[in-house]
Amino acid sequence: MPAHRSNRPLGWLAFGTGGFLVAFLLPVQVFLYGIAVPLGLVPDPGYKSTLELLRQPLTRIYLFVVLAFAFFHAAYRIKDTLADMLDMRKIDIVLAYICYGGAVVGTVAALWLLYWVP
Amino acid sequence: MAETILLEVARFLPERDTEPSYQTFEVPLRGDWMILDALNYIKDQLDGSLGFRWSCRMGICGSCGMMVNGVPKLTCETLLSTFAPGPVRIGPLEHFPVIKDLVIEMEGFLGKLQKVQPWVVRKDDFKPQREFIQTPAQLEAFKQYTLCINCMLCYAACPVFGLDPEFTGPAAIALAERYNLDSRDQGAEGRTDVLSQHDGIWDCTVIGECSQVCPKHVDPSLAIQQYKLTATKEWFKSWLLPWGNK
Repeated sequence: MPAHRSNRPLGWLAFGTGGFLVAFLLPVQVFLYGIAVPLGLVPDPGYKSTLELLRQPLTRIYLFVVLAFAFFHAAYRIKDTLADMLDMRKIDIVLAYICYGGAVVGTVAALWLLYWVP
Repeated sequence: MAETILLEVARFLPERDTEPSYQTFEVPLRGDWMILDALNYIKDQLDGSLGFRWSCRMGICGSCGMMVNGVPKLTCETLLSTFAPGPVRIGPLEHFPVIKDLVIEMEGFLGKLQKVQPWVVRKDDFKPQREFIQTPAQLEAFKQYTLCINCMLCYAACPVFGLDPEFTGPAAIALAERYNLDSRDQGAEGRTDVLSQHDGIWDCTVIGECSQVCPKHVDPSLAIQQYKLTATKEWFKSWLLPWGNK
């Protein structure tokens, strides 16, 4: 395998995409459901209508994509931070398994939760 | 304003000392002096055994890089008076082995520089009969990276290089991009094997200190991120179109 087939580009692309999605979309999500609705800045859609929204396949795909990439974004950043903070660059393959393992678990959990929306 | 200032200068002789120590010198605090002038005053008037590199005194040769109060600086363009009332602590560039006092070992850096082939590489037998015409846009693509003077301040500032001395590092990657982005060059493929490794661009965690300390306002951090995108495209191409690579 040539040297330039190091698997880092895959993780980096997921990291970059995740960073973009998290920076642009999650703040909107948090603002709407975490701030605007509780403060009454926008009319409360209520439980039933929110659930109805969540039943739409497009909503579920949107949430799945945002969450999955957010997990992989976090995995990349946490792995690098830990490797540098704890001076563990030499064994960063172990950290990679732990962090990306966590991202896979998070992604599967998101998929499972979104699939079983009542 | 006091008429003198104290300089705490790192002293180290590997064959004599086990670890570096700091020696304090009192030098005149002159408004027109750079740190380098104060070091030359010490060398000429106080202690001729002090070792440090310098050459042009005008911020272009890249020889006189040192840590000034913990920050990598070209000492020939760092005013002494800005540190009044002192003391000022002068050390060798961080993350490099020290040969003597303020003189660092730069073989490692020069080896990395050579590996990225920082020159115009042609695949064909290129013998231009006249100037090679470039558009302003083609020049702009790489121009800022030509300003690098190999002073290694970016290596002293880079925490990643501090942790992993094998990291190709900011200046070498910026200079690789300087030629990769040059329309006259055809050597990008040859540089890929060096840059796309774990110790190449992928070691960088975008801390950005390299671009902060560069005395020539080169942005090595940008070069590294640009190349990450290039390397990622190449990676996908090598999987999707394996026949594209020989």
